[in-house]
Amino acid sequence: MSLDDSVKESMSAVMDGEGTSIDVARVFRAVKADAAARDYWQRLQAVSSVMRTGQAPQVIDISEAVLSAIEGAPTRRRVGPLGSMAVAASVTFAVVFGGQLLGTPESGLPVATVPGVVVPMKGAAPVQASYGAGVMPSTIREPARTALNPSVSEVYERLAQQQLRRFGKRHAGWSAGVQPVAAVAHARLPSEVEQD
Amino acid sequence: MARNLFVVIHGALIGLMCLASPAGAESQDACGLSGDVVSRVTGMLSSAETSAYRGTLLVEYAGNREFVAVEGTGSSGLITFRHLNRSADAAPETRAISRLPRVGLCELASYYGFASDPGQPVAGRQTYRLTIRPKDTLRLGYVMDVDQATHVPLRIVTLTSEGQLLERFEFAEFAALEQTLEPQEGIPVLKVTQGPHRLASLPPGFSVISSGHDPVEHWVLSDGLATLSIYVEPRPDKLSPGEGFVVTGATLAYTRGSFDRQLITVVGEVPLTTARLVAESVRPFGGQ
Repeated sequence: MSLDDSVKESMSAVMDGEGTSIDVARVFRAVKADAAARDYWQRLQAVSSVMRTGQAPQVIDISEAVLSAIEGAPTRRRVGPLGSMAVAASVTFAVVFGGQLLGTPESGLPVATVPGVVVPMKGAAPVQASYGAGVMPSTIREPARTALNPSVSEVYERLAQQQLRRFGKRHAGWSAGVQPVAAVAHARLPSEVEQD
Repeated sequence: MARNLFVVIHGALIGLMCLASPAGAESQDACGLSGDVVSRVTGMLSSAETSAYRGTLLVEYAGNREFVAVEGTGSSGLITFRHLNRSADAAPETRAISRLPRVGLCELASYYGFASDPGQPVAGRQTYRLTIRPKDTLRLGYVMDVDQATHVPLRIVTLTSEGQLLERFEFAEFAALEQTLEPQEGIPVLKVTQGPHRLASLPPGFSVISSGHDPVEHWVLSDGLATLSIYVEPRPDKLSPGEGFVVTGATLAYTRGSFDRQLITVVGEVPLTTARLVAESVRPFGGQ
């Protein structure tokens, strides 16, 4: 099934960090319901990576299909000169978006309204501001599988966990110097952080 | 119980909604903040240096829930704590706290909105509520119930800018100790050194408050409420470029293997977007 041009246009806008809430809603709807939309969305992310780094990522296979996606993509907006801010925001959006909707289409989690915001992350999404003893978000690991080589994502997820154990105590020491309640910085440390 | 919970939830949400609307009828003072808000925020920020206390802190984050016995003395800069649920007869741990430079209230108000409301009793003490909402998406928000007598936050809820709860701290019992000092002036800045890399740009409102090379090249950034630390080391040859992160409560750990063979890790109580921006700004000295 061919993909509607308006969906493609919205996807490009969202990837550029310029999508409106209507664009985002349209993309979410399409990606949730349409395999072709999911495929196109993933290819756009690969394209974005190429444009961001100026070279083909070693971990991503940039195929002819991706190149054709570049040529065939609507040109309402391109990845502009906003620099790392817009790109990072787009990538952030893409990462969480990919993990939550592409990975678990049945989850029904709330979605971001605009790219670049603090997107709802898995585990935290259903929890609202409350002082009650409601469900607290579990440790959230990298949900994204947007890179075409998921094993690299898994490696970095584990590495991030290791780095938190390695540097967590050191960071807590600095954070305690800023927190109004210094004990909070140390109290939040998981038990498995490296000790002195 | 359920009704109390309902009331509390509404109180927090109403506090956040108030921040979204223009200032009310209260007279505006410094930085567009009312005199009441200024005195309360200033008191809260300086309480770590001026107040001594002992208590039991309930900690909830990332599926964990535990009690921590704490004792803090502002003048000595020491904090003692003991995790009560990790092992029986756990030995108390003591840490020296290096108070970092405090950001001016007006600067802080550029990046956070503040609102003050009556608070609910916490640990049997009267509080006022400070709702601190980020003005952009680069930092987290906080709702604090602050002790009226000592200005120590007795309950702290950390939220995303969309109001999603990340972690909660609350004193189950709290006792102010006698030692109370005036706020210190000229708080010493930690050492800032120059290494083989630099930060080409910083997120708005953040500044470098420390840097060093032990155990690896690192920087510490803060906006006055949030803190993040950046670590740069060589990327192992066998590790392809890529990225990953974990979030535990409000603490994010983000690691990126860059194409120029650096392994950059950001740890902090900040959103992922902020960590990415900071990691992207790491450049070799002399590079663009």
